[in-house]
Amino acid sequence: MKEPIIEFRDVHKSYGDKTVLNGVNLRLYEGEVTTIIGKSGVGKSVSLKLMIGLDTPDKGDILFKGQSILKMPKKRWKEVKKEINFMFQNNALFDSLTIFENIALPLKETTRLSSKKIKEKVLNMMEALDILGHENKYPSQLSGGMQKRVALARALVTDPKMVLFDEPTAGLDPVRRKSVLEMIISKQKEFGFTAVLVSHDVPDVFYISNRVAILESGDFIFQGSPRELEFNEHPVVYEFINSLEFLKNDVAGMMTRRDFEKFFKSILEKDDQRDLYLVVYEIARYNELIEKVGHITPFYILQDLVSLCKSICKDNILGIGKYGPDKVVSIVDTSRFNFKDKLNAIQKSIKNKDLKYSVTSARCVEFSIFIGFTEVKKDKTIIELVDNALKNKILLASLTCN
Amino acid sequence: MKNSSSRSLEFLSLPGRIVLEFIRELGHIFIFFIKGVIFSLMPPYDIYKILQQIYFIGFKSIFVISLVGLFTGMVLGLQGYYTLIKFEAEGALGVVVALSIIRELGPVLGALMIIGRAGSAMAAELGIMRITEQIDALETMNINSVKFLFSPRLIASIICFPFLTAIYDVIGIIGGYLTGVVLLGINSGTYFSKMETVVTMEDIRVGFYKALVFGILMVTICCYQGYFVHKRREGFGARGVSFATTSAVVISSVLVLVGDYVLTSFLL
Repeated sequence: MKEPIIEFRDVHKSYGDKTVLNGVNLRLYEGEVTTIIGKSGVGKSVSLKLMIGLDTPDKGDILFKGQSILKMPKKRWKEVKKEINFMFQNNALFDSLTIFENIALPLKETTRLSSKKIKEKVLNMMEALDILGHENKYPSQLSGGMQKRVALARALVTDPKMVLFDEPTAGLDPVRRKSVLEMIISKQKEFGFTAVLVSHDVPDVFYISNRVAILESGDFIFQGSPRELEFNEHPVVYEFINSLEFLKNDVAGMMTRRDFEKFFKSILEKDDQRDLYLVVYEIARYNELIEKVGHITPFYILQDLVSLCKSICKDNILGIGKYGPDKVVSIVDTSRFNFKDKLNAIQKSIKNKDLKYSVTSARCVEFSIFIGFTEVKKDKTIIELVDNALKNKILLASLTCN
Repeated sequence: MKNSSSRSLEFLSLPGRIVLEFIRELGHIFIFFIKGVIFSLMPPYDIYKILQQIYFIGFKSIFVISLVGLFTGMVLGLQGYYTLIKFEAEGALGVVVALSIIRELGPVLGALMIIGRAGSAMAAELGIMRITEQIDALETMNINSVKFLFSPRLIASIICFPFLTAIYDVIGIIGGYLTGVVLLGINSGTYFSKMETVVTMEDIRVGFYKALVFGILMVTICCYQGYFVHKRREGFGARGVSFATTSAVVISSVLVLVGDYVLTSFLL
């Protein structure tokens, strides 16, 4: 079995009355990119600070390549620290030193390299991070993104084996956030160091991480690959990976898939007198749409779909929810309302091309919306019902490009 | 009943807790100082950083020290003249000015001025470095932050304080000369010859010992307050730095005066 480079064993840490880490176990492996995610104030940064010895645990042990860093002789700990570097959330650049002096500082203070060699290494690193030409400026004269680059250059200039990044993208706009993450990952691939990131940028970090750890209520509730994370059933994990979806659903007035399933179950348990239909709306070529026009337009399409649902079924609609990225489902009470008549009228209007549009534009992306429905039967699961509904789906609206 | 008795017990234990806290704090300051001394003696020696601090603490304080020294000497000259003339002893003005400045006013007022100028700046600088995680950054880079930040300031203070005191003394004596001789007409020869006869090397040495001790007190207290700003209970962030700077100036000024009394009683 692979030996972890860093291992937390039953680590406890409290500040006054507040318990931050409550018997935490964590394993980080060499050469991997591990991301620690969690809500604000749960102890993510504390975990990083414990790894590098800026703080010590109240109880438990932290191992570096199997050796306790708490019981390590000072000399050995110094050697270990040479292999680890830290990039602070607020960069922690020395504001009275120039950019060159900032990056050169660890080399000047901890190595016996000649001034010429130090200069060469610093300039190479500056070139690699695209900050050459700013040597004589002070940190306050640079933008936030540039300062991150300087902090990264300082963290990498000593060729560390492991770099800890404390919220490297905090406070950056989406463009700079993306570029900082890209920069970290490209340098990680280039230099091969072990990276540990603390980040809020779900789901961006999933693309760059080999492992993800979720810290919640003083414990790591999940540790594994992003793929394993996607299939994890823990409610907090689910909440994390769907945090962006939740907001989107709330704004559009839809339930999440999980909530809809619960709601569907409760309806079935409560009432068996009504005639219920499950109506499924599907956006065809949804992924292509997102790829070409981004997330905003598809979001508006979903929002309009919900309005359409409501306008078709009016008060007879019992609930609307999201079922996968491209599907909206609703439960309709058809006891006092003829859904099929309504649908026939819609189909008729489609035949009259009321809901078919065509656009002449270079940026045009074709897509269609289908509708399917099925009678709700108690012995069927929601998955089966959705499949049934989509078997007989009909075109509701479409956009074609000329 | 139980509550009121535990409250009164707590009240009674308060002085004890304060004393213990004070002793603990003194211990921390002493350990910080010892670390500074040990790391100063350990290689590598960064002469450039020490020179930088000598420039900041010493060279940049020369003007203010000279100004204060000059006016102290001038006031002493005036006050001394009008007091001594009552006893027809105005010839002793030079001795009075010189002894007052060399043994007391030079080291004490000089130290107070350096505390105000350089000590407060040290506390604020280290405090800001602490709250912006620059000191933590040093530690993560495997750089000994006490050696990097405190030791050069300690060495520079030990070098600068006696020099600045010497400058203060000389300028103060010149100030006394200006009022006593130039303004009030005492004989120039009398002013200096009596001084030469009465002032001994021992007086000068006492003044320098004091300056040395005050320098160590100032740099240790001011750096300690800034370095450990994050451990303050009264406030964090900018407010913490403001408290640290105030405490640095107040504590080191008080300690200079207390230290002056203690040293004077031992060295007299």
